[in-house]
Amino acid sequence: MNILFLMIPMALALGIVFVGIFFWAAGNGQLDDLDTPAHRILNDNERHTNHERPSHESKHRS
Amino acid sequence: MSPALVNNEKQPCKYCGTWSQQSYCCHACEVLDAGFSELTKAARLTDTQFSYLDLPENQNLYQLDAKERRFKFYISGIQCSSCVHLLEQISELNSHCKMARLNIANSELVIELDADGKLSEIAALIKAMGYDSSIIKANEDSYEKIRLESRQDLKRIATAGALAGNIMLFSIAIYTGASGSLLTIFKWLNFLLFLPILFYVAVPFYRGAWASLKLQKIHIDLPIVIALLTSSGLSFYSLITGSDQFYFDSTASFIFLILVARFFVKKAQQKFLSPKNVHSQLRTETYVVVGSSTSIITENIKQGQNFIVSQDQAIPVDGVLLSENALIDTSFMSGENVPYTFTKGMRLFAGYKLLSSSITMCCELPLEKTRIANLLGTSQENLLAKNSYLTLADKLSEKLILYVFILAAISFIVIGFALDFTEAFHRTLALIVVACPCALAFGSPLTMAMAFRKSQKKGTAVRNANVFEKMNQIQNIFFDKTGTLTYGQLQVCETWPEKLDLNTANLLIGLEKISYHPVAFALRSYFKNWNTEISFTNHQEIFGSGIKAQLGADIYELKTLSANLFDESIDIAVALYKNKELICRIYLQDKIREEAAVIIAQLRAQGKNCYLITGDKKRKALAIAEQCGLQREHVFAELYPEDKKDIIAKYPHSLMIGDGVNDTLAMSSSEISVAIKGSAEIALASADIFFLRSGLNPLVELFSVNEAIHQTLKRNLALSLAYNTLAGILALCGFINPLWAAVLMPISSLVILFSTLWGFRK
Repeated sequence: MNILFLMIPMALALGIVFVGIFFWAAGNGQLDDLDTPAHRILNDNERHTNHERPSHESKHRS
Repeated sequence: MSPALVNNEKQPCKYCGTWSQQSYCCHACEVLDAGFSELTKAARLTDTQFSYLDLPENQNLYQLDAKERRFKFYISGIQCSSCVHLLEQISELNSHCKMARLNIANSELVIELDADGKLSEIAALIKAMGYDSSIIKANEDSYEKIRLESRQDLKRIATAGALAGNIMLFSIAIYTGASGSLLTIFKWLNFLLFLPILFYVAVPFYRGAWASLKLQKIHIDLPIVIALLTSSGLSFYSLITGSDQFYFDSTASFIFLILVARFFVKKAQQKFLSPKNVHSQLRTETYVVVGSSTSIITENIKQGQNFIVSQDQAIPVDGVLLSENALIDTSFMSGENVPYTFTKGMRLFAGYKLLSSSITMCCELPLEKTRIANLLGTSQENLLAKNSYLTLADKLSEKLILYVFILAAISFIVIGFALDFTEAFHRTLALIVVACPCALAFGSPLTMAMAFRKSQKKGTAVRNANVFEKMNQIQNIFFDKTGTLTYGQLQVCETWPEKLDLNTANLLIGLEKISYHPVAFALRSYFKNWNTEISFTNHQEIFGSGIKAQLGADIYELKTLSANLFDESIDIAVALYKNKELICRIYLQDKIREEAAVIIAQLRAQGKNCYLITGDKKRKALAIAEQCGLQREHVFAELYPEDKKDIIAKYPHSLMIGDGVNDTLAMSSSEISVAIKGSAEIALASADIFFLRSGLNPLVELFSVNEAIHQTLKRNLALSLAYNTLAGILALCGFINPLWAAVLMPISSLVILFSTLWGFRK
């Protein structure tokens, strides 16, 4: 039974940490725009040509 | 840069791989593939078209916040990741630009400039990249406020969810028989975990309840707050006195559920206001001041200033025509679709549209004093009055509060004398807790969120939830004529001789080549198969009568026939002459939408009265009414906007559907106003509903969505009344304990959830 006195504070602390992380993310604007960052990460400032990406091509042709 | 190869088969974009019919999916990819050299050249150019952006008086209009020079553009034509990449390069291409951030969902670009940065350079750069942009005025930027609000809401939902989950865990331990010191600890933990809900999460409810008390108008927040405070008070009292009336778990979970449902409604409602919906239908017009190279926007035009309006632009302010002639489309103001010729010195009103080539005019009244601004002002006042409408949930909660408190008072006294007062106190409070209108507070917003989604899918955007509640009472439906029942543009309906040969088609198209007259558009769409471009010489537009031009030695004329030569269903007729010898006649009319008659028949079958209300001539209105199946006595014609308003005000429970400036006042005085796709800006701005698909079909869809809403609301209401009555009786008989509440509340919420989803399953 005594283990409960350790586990309850730990569970609560974890909960508080997660809610805290969520607060930080929301306050930072990470949940404002859910679409653009997915596109932004694709830009690596390099020129693409078709033959550089055979996997992409074959996926579309099949 | 080579032009993109056009091929009918789909192929992957050479740059990003998105499949489209061109070798590049969008302009951004083409630009990126070619490198930035072209752009950097373009970046140094400034475009006089955008010089209005740099006017000092406009800076405050556009700057988003006081400290930093941040501006927001709406960009149309965003396709793929390359657009993000390209547009965000602005900060590197323009040395004064500190930051460029694109939001792909809203098509908005936020720009931050240093002190020397010029907005016109940014706008020119965006144009060079191949996008149409329009700057968003700071006061139109509702999104910033919405964003902060939505962050707050998310935080509250997260807190409520985490706490409700933990409280439930400890409650399960209590219900399953925790005892001794463990029970005390769990009880106090529940209490501690509940505190943030009481003091942080529930704040919006307190605000709503307080506002409702202050305005003496019942709002659904009031019963929620009463239930919340009662249950937490009772639970705290139990904690101190050691009895077992704990409602922390049930209360926390219903607060969480209500917050989630409200969040969804808000999101759905904001979609109506999202720039994609609003800005794609509006555009910023700029005008060039006479004697300078600067361009200005409508708001900048001052009294006495001379400026140039170019072809196809709207007349921005009331003023006097300085050029010799102008061909003007007055349909947005008068509802008539045959254009008029104005001559030097005549007055032009804001809202007219210029069809002939560019003119100079002098401003007599700046924007805020024009007839349009007056109309808009009045309609906005009407709009405010309309929004004070009491929602169904509010009305019901008002009654519920009254009944519950009367019942509580009676039962407290009865049970108090019959048994004892401590027991009476417990049972009465339990009654108030379970009688919380959970279904109303949770079911109604959920239904509305579903309705918003549904109606958007069906091609209508709805401004707020009240509209749905008013839809049910609609008895009288008023249709505008031009542009609503009809297509709003002339179409060829008859010709003489019956079949025109290709040569005639080529001649007609060649003659009308430079014209913006509605007849020209009609001819272009009628003769789709014309093939040779005939270049006439001595092309001249004769105002009021037609076009004259030479081909070799022959003189060709296209003349408008006078109105008494054809019957009333025809709007305009033209004749083509070669050296004064008649070749052909063409009759044009503004055709009635195909679906109009069917839709009116459907609405009338549902017992609704349909009316036609227009500024156009009586005989034309009657001809249209007959074709649409409207009764003669239901036609109101030859009306000014003010008259339309007075007529509609006489009919209670009216819906007005229109598209023009002249309809705006009438629309604002009707209970629900609907603007069809392609309406004038001002009509869109004041409409409760606007159609995202063209035509009248969305109207029928709207009524069917409305039907679904009301059935769902009624079913939810019946279910929750049954639940509340049952739970209320149990509470008064003393059977309700926290365990029962903890079981019954989620069950009732689930039932409501499924009932709502069921209502919108199709």
